[in-house]
Amino acid sequence: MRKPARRRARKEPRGSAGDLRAFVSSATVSVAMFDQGMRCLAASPRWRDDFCGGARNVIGRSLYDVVPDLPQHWKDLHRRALAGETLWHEDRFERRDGRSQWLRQGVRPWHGARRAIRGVLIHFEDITARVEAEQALRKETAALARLHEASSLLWETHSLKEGLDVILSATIDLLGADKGNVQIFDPGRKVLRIAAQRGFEQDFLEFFREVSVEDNTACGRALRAGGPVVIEDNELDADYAPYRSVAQAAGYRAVVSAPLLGRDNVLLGMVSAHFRSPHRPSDTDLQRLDLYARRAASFIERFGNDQALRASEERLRLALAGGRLAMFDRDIRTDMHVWSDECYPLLGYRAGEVVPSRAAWMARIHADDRDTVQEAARSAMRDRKDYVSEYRILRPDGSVRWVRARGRFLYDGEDPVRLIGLVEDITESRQYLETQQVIIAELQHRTRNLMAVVQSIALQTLSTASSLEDFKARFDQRLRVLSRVQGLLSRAGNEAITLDALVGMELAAIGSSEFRHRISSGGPSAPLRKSTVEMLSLAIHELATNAVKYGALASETGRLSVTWEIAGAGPDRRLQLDWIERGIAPPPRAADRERRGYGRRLIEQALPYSLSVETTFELVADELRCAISIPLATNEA
Amino acid sequence: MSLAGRRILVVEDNFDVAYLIRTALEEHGAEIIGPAATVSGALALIAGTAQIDGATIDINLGGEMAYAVIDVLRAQTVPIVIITGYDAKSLRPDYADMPSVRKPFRVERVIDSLLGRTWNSE
Repeated sequence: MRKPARRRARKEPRGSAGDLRAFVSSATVSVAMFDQGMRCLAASPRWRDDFCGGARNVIGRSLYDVVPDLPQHWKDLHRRALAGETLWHEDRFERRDGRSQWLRQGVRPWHGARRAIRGVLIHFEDITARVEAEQALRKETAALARLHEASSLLWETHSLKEGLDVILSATIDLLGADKGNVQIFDPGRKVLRIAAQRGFEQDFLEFFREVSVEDNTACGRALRAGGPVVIEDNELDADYAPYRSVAQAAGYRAVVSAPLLGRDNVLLGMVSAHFRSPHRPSDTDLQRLDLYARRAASFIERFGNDQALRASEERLRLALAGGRLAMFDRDIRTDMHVWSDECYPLLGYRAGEVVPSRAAWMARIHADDRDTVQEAARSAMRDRKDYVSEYRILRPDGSVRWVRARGRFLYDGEDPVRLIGLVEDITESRQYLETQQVIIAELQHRTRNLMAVVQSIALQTLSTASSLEDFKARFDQRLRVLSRVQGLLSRAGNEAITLDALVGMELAAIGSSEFRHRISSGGPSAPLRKSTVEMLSLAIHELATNAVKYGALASETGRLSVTWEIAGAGPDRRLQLDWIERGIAPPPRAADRERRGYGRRLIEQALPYSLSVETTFELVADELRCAISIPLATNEA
Repeated sequence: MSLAGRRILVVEDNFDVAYLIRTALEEHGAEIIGPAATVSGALALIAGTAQIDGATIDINLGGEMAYAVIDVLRAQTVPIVIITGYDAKSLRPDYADMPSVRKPFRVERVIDSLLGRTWNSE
């Protein structure tokens, strides 16, 4: 019974076709099958919905009749598939019902007997969600890239104004706004002031010159809120009423304001974006704005810190320069040295001539002082105290400078890791000190000498005093001469004392105004050696006093003449002083000569003793003649 | 305390101070050689004198230091007292341990020193 078997075999394929149709009819995917002429052989309901508006009678009809507006490039796909290619394609499709989709379609040939191509199979996947997600991600990435670029730009700006302009442009760009401004907060007056703006006229800038926390502008509200504030339409916002006319004139309906907060939420400023039409920024926009506001705030902060740092460094540099101090900073572990500008000239190097190093510094320290310096450093480290050292610098031009170095060691536990300090040129003050010491020693010497002289004068006065009263009077007078001389010497300083000054002083001391008509004195202004001044004063004092007591000035008829002149030439030039008393009445007796003893000894012995002074003294009849020849001062003795 | 019979050289550039020294020493019986006011004057005196039993030396003679005079006297083992207005430390180091007194001085100290009695330098 062969026939039934064949029949059975033929039925199975037909049974499969029926199952296949059932399968296709209930499939949820979008798939269709075509013959070589693109006539539809089978189609899922989904496919019919997507492409044929749900039409039922598509079987047997050409696809191009059912969907007349099929895109050409899809027809190309079909043609290629019929030629044997398996193709994938993604694009956007506008549906009949107005929706648009992103579709991924697969087009492939199907084969019959002996692998002959009998038609194509087309299926569609809706990839709208994926594509939209990809698009959104791309947009987001691009926006972030712009944000990053804008932030990088900020790091390169070097002025606050430049930075604020960058912040503003980026914000306007990010939000798609039409205008915007950046305000800086003044903590003193608690107001916001516009520091950068784009798109506004003078009227607006004047009106909103200062915004306080009480104001109901977007920025005022943002100040109060501590976060971004959106005014979607200022015509509809009741609290914005006072500003509406200004907003109209300036041409904006919507505003977004975000505060710029620094560390610890310190308010630094505000950034605002304005829109010509009513606008509601998306959540993404606001998120991005928040991100950017943070960047901007940290820029402003960093800028402020940088400024403060630069100002501080500049201040230090100026202070060091003005104070003529050189600064050194030595990292002991790495042996890196930092020298301030002043170190170079101090050590006798040209600026930048050497790389700062211990060797370069040591090389300029005077050989005799190097040990001292090293010991000072060692001792400071040992005892953990500040380093102080005074030493000489020997410069290549041969000059020597004294410097004082002071520094501080910094420690890591037990080990010194750094030495920072200052070096000062103390050459002048050291010389001054040395000079002072010399002067003080001289002064001591002079004073002690003077005391010995006083001792001596007391002794001498005692030996010729007729009574204690007499001693007191004479001693007192002679002390006063010394005192006058000291006064002359101090006032003169380094200048020489002249004979006329000395004579004038002693004549005045005896009250020469009383004897004006009986004294004639005069001579050139002649400088005296310092060593002669004291003795000469004492001598002239004695002559003058004796003249008053026993001499020419003791009576009405006596006359005194004190004159001097310069005689001789070159190193032999001498000052010749002549003291002549005439008409002494009554004429001097032996006893008087005794009383003149001190003065006479002065003139005849003391003056010539060590001063190269030559003297003569004659007391004859009613005349006293005293001649004193003094070498002129050439250089001070 | 007596310098009777002793010949003392006085070297001092200030007349009044020289007067003081010589008077004080003479009161104690000394015979004074000089006084000399300069280095050259003192050296000349030393050269021309046979017997010197002691000397008081002012270290600064009109700007010139008297070390040369001291050297000559030391060589002759003459007792010396340096009389000076300066601090002891301003003396040259190798002369610093010589007997010295500061002006104004007490004559007793000078005499003690000349007589070889030891005492602490002022």
